[in-house]
Amino acid sequence: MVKKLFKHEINAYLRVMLPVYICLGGVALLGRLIQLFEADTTIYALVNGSSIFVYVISILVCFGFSTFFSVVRFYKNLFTGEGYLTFTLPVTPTQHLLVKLLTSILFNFISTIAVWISFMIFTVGDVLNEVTKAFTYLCGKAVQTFAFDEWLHLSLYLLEFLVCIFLGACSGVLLYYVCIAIGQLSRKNRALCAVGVYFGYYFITQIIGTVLGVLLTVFATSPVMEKIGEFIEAHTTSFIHILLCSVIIIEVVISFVFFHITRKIMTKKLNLE
Amino acid sequence: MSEILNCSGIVKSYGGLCALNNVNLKLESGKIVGLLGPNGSGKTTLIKLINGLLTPTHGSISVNGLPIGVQTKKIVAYLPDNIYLNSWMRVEQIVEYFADFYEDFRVELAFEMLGRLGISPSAKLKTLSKGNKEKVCLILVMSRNAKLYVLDEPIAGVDPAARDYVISTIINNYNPDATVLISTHLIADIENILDEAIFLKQGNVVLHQTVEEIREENQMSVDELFREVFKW
Repeated sequence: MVKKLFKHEINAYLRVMLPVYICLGGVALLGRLIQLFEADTTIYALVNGSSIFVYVISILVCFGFSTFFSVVRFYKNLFTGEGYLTFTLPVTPTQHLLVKLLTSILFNFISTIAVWISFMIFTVGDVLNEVTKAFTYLCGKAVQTFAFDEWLHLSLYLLEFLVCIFLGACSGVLLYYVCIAIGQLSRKNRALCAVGVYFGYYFITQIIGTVLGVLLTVFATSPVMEKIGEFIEAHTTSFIHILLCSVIIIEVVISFVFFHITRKIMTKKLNLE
Repeated sequence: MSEILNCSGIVKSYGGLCALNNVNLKLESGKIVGLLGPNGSGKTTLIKLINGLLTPTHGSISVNGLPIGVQTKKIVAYLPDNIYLNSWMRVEQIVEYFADFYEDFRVELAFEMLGRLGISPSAKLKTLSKGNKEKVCLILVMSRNAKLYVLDEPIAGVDPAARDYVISTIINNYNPDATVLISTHLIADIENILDEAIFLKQGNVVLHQTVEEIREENQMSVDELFREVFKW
């Protein structure tokens, strides 16, 4: 059943995202063609500038639309009239939630690839050659600079960083989902309630962040903080691992909490229109 | 006859409002049962509970001896009282969707019924009229070879000709070993096809009898008894 859910979820995303990717590629290609003329006139400068502007906007739309559609899809497919069909399929709420989450992350990834490909189209020729050269040079320098054990650490950093990105994407998408799920508990203005929950969460996390920042500043010269500073200086490599692993643990906890609340609401507190 | 539905001591409250109050109900296979009651009597709440769209505050429900969950959803065909289709889909896509998820779905039967109505498989659902969308929903549900069909107000808000179509579609396509639970307040239209009737009043089952018993004991039709019981 999960395979079938994925199939239909991916089809729903493709219907909307494929035209966006095609448009992005088209804008990039048009921009590159305009650059080929290289005429020294005001009109050309205006057209070329506009093409760059439109391309940048297209990138933002590509990323933004991918997230926006994931939110709309989650709300419409589960909590409006469509929910009567979705929730009577022989599938558990956990499976629904997992498929929606993973498809959303998959399309965020596909959007990133699409933007990268469009960038190659937009810069194909001299600029792309320069970028490739710079990248190859930096990679070569890195190989020469680091010793074997440093490479081991670097590989681990990279792995930890990728896990952080994946979990960050999970918690980000699940935050939207949990806000929608809480919002649908309201009898009226469900979308507005979901937005309210989102900003409420944002406000609280900002306050917590500010308080922690202030505390760190106040106690910056305390003996404990000095000890921590000394530890970081002496064990920088280990400290980066500790830092990345801490982020991973926090993201896992946040994702688990969001997932659990959303699943609980979908199972016990469904309030279809 | 085996028991297909068992509701035991069902209570469903929304905040301070009690929508269902200690509902006990047993339905056997192979019957067409009318779930009858005025608006707000708890019919849709009971139906949502049977389909796992709500969880009871107290009590338990089983379908074919199984607690409500994935296994019961495989054998219950549900027609909600509103249109639940993904409007961007084509008719053939929604048929494929049902065929993918329900093992008991009869694709040929679905296309045959759609063909009889003149609905093209390639038509987009959003281009269909409200009446045709409702008919597509009914066709999808009745194309399943389910053990329990739960139809919530299938004839409400449709013209008399469409009512006849809905009733004939139900009669001609349901699995004869299955039970059909039809919720409605338009009793006169469906009385002739019912084997049993359940009267639901303010969240309580006030009557559950066969149609024959109702007629013999009260010397009146189900419709007349309904008017008597729910008189203002």
